[in-house]
Amino acid sequence: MKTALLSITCLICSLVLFLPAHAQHGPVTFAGLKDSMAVQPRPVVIELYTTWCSYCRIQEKQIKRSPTLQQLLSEKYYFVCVNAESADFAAFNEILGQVALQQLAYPAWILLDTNYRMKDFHTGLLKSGELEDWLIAK
Amino acid sequence: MYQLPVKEKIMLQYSYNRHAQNSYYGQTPYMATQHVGFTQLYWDKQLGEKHNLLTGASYRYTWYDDNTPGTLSEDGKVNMPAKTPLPGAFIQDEWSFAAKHKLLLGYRYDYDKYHGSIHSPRIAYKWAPNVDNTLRASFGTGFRVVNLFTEDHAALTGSRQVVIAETLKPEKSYNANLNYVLKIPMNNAFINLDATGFYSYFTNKINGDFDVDPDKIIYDNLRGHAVSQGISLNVDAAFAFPLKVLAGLTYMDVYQIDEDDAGIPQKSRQVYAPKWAGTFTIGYSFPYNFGLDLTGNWNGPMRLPVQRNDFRPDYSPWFLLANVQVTKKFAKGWEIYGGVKNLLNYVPEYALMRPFDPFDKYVNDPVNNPNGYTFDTEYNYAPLQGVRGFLGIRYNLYQ
Repeated sequence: MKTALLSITCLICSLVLFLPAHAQHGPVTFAGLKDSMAVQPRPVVIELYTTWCSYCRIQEKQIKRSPTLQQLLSEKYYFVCVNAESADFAAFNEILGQVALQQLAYPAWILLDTNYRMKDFHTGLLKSGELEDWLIAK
Repeated sequence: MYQLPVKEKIMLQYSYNRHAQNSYYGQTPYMATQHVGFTQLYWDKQLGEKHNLLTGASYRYTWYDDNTPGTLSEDGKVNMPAKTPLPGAFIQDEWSFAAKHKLLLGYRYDYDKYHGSIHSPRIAYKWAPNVDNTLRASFGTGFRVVNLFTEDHAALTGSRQVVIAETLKPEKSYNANLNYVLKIPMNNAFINLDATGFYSYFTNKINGDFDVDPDKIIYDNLRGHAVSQGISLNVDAAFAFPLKVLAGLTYMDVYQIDEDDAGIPQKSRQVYAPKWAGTFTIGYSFPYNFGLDLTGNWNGPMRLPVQRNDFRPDYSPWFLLANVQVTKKFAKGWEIYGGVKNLLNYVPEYALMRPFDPFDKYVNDPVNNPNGYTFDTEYNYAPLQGVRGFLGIRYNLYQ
């Protein structure tokens, strides 16, 4: 029992610590998210990007340079980066359910509560300060 | 476009196009009708992990009729519309032979009833060591049948007589391209740089000869070769504040080496082709949904057709055409915009030669026309409109 709990905690820690470091648009699947949510529910923040979006690259650089943002994203939330043109995005729609995403622009920020219900949605580049305020306030 | 309801990815494309022309050039009518039917079937297949195959066949049928001698029978009595079937087939493989390398090999075959078999191979290579750097190189051949009247309306609308010295053969070329894309992500900006070098060698090119006779444009086949080469640089910059900058610069060297009447090869630079050309767009979004856009394009000197002892320079000057526009967006997709075109009020200095005597009636007048100039409209290199304002409303559907 103890070893099982220890290994699960290690798994979550590695997932959670791995995610922000690799948050620079690494491959994140929903299997991983679902597992972590099952163990420790947290609100989820999803960043939708595309390979051709230049503002997404600026966003990525700004997150890298801000330790407070990295801490927020790794401790208070589960941070998921999804390529809007990949198969991951299709799996995504299933979680969001009936939520209508009108007029998508990239980077798109989606905030979900612990029950996968959409709490907030923002399109466009969010400067580090603005992003911090948005994440803290929710 | 229609995708066939089979497991394999087979697409069918088809189009039909009809053009009816009813024009008068002075008192000369030019009436023409053209029907073009096109269909293409292709199969897109992924073979294993490394090869992507594309193969297909196409058929284009062109029916063309006009009121010129070009579509009359040999004896000039029966109207014979030109009917051109053009079947073709192609095959192409995109081979990812190594992790960051891709090689494309393609071949196309067309059969034209007048020009026989046309072979068009091509090869292309791409190297992308990471997401921010990409190098591309390609080589291929070109083949084009020229239809002067439908393509070169300057021949019909200008002041000169068009002379077609012999049956025009198709234009053929060999082309090579080299391209490099560099992306620079920064904390407050993202810069996309694009550099391209191109080289085309034409074994036949149909260029109008404006130099031999000021009253004529003469079209014939090239006895020699023509070259079109150059370098183009483009910058696309996005910033963390609402500024967008686009700028481009091109250097082009276009010339031909053609034998003159004595059989001696002469090198001549292409008319109307500047060596240097540039373009820019600067856009900024202000609060309260206002936007400002500044655009411009500038050209270096280009060779222009001049007459004997012409007082006009044979090269055009450097010039810049700049425009500015302000846009205000309202709710529900409505926008109001206004601005100024040709802000610097640049107008070419010499537009028409002897516009008061368009039919050359008083040309042989040694007192008033000692150099024997004739009416000529071909000396143009920029729009003749000066600074002007504009205002408009735009409604966007689906917004």
